[in-house]
Amino acid sequence: MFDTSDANLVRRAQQGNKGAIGKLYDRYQEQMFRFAWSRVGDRQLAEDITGEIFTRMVTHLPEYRATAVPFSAWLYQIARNLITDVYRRQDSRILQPLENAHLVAETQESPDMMVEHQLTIEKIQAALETIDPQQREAVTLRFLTGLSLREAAETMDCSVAALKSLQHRGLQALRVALK
Amino acid sequence: MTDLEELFQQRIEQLEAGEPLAVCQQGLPAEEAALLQLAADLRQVNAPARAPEQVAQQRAHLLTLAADAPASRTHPLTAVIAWLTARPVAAGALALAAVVVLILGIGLWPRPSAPAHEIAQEPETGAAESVPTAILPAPGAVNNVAETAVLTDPAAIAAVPTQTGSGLFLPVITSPLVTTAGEAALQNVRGLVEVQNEDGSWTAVAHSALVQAGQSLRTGPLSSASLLFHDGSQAALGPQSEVAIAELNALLPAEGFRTIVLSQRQGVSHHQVAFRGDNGSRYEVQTPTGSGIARGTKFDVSVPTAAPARFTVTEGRVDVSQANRTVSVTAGQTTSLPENEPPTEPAFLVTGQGEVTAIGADAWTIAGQTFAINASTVISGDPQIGDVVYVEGHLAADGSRVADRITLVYTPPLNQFMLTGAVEAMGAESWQVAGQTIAIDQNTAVAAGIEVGDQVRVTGLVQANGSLLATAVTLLADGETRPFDFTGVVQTIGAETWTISGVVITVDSSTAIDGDVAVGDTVRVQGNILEDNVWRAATITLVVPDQATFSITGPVETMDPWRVAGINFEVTPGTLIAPDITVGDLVRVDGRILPDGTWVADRIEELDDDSWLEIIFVGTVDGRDPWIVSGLPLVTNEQTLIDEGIDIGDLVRVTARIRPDGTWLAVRIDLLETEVGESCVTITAVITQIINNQVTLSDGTVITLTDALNVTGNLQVGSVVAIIACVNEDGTITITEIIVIYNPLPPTPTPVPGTNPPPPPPSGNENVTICHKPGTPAQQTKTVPQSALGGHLGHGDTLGPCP
Repeated sequence: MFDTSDANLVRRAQQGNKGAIGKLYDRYQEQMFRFAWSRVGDRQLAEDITGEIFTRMVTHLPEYRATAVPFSAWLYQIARNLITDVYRRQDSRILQPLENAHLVAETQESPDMMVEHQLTIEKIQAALETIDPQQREAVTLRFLTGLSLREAAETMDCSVAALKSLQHRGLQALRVALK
Repeated sequence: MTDLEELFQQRIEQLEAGEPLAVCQQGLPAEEAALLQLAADLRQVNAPARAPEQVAQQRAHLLTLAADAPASRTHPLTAVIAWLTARPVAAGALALAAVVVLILGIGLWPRPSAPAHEIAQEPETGAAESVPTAILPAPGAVNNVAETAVLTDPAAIAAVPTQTGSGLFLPVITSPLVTTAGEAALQNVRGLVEVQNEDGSWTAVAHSALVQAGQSLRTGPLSSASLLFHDGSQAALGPQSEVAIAELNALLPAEGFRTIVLSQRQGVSHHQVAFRGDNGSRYEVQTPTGSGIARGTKFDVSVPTAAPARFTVTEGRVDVSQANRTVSVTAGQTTSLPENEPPTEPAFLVTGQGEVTAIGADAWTIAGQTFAINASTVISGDPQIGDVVYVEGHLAADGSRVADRITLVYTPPLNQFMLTGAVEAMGAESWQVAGQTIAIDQNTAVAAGIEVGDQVRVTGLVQANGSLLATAVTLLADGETRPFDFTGVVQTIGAETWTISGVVITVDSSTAIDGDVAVGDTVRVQGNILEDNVWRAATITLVVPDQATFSITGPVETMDPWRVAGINFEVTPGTLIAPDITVGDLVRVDGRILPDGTWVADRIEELDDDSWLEIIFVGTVDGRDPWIVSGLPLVTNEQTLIDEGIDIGDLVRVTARIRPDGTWLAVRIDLLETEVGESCVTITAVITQIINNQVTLSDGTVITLTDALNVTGNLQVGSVVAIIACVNEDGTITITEIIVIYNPLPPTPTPVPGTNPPPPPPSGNENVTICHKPGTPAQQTKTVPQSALGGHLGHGDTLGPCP
């Protein structure tokens, strides 16, 4: 009964309805920011990327076709492309050398320390960069961005079953990378 | 998927449901338990909270970008990659944007054409590495050029070398319409646009006309046009503007130096100047009190009748001179030219759009920001508190904002209604339509020939006299004609046809023409669009431009942009658009014609067999289960479209259909994004009890009626009222006025949240089937309320379906 579908908002947005565009922004800005931040680890850069994601969204909305891919998947694809661009241009600043991450990990005094002290976003990013991109995406969406299984599957344009496999294998790979 | 993965997923779900990690790990192999630990650890990594002001700024920028979307589509990536990769500059841009803009606004001409950061970064970046092959001019200009199909030919667009230090990129566009450097083509003609003849007289000209040096051009009210020069530069004229082409030799770079000199005598103009790196080229705009020279930029020139001329730059730089002094006005800045004085020190431009929450003699509050008002401030459209306006101004030396121009964008649809249905009774002061009592007064525009039983559309205001007040009552289309009603400027007057704001109108001996109408006058024209798409006028009446409105009926031709009955129009967030309209639907569009001739829809109503008992209104949500809006219980079903996130107290727009049993079935409920100002707010409520001077509202609030409290209308139990509440400086709230919006007739039981919709009304609203206009081409089987049967039979309809 509730008109909560992205499709309806997107359709209105494509007609130039600014209210719909605003609602799409409201709906996804936090997700996009978390996604960007979990990938670049820099708050201001994540803010910039988030802004640009939606700028591109508006710019390219006329080209979007709901039948091709879910809207959220399309939006995340924009985010991925942007982050890739940023990595390509600013890799020295964003990417921490993996050995440094290991170094940080080895300096932890106790396995009982608070999780947030052990698992810094820099370590996670460094480890994530070493695993399979699909698995990285699944882990990022599920556990760092906070999407549900269904949302993450929709975003990755895959089945829920496939997503379950990806997240499981992604966690396995990430655990190895973090060791 | 393996069993282990399935098991792991089950435990993940338990974890997400809030069960302790240790519980979720029980029974898992050590490896899986460790993975679950990792998943839990990852979920604990909290992202920093976003800065609310940055979110708001991004959102505002996005909405501005949406308004300028046609121009934006061609420059999406490069500018922002530069923005991302030039972080210090981006930060500066953001800071500058925060200071300079509420974000460039939408809608009204002249509109800024570049996003805030693009403007802000230009002076420093150069951005050479990310030059797009073509960045199109502003939206209006894109449309202009597209009409000539120039941009469909890639060969006709060439990127201009980057201007060092400015980051400005404009295409060189060679137009087949502009055959020589000494001519300019008139484009995007709206309303009355005239060229001066050698003898000093003026002649109306059309799209694509060519003009030369020595000629003058002027626009009438509700009119605008642009000049496309041979080198791709463009000058757009706003309403009531006049420009002389002093010199024109718009050579391309390969051909020699460009010279374009315009003398603007009055009005407003917007310029997009193709960049030239040579020192011999000139693009100059002269005003009565000074001039500006640009090499490649975008800027606006305003020459008001009672205020100094003003140059406002949106891209690049313009050197503005007067009284032996030149100032460089850069992107985001503005300067004025007082008579016999040097240009004022350039100040940063402040533009934006928002709700007016306070109007004072010296200052207005718009979108929560205070803008100083002075004698030079131009205020258009008579905006009032609650209206959404577009504001242009500048930052004064002391940091305060000064408004240079405030233009009404739209009036939020609060307390407006639109109702369609059968006329059941017609009295001198009120009518009964679709079971509703509609007040009629001397200002109500009532279409001729309406009889009891006819299907009509009523638009109006919920206000003062205890019932809905109609501002217009029109007959619904029967198929053979489609009514229209609009206000425009007369361009030509012929024996059989007139041209009014670009629309060819057929007149005949039956057309009632009020007064001595001449070319250039603003008139209201009403009539019907015939089957062959001929617009036949019934009446033509002189009006003042401020009353420029329109109403047209026809099939939707396109929705992006909107086009109905051959008329392009725009929609705003305030436009009431009936749900699920698609191309081909028959609709009625009501709206306003802006000063530049742009048609903006206020309402788009679908006309079909199902719409005749439909009502659209705006109110406050009192309850959601069941839905009650402004005290009116609504029935919802699986087809009802309801925006997410609606809370009690929110302002919503309801599209409902009045069912035969008298209940209101909500077709959709849209959340209205209305920002409540800091001063006064309007709250809608239902009166549930009145004892002496104590009025109890549906939410339990008790208001004591005092002499200081202004009450308009007849308060009674069941009345829907608008309550004007103002926030005092000390934070307390004072109720200043109660206006009766609606007194249901016959009285309905007092709605109480949580109760069912109202019971069926008395008999008389059962539907009966009739044959409407039997034996005519418009013959149609219809279902009408029994209460309207008498009227239908009275004008020849017959009971039962058509044969």
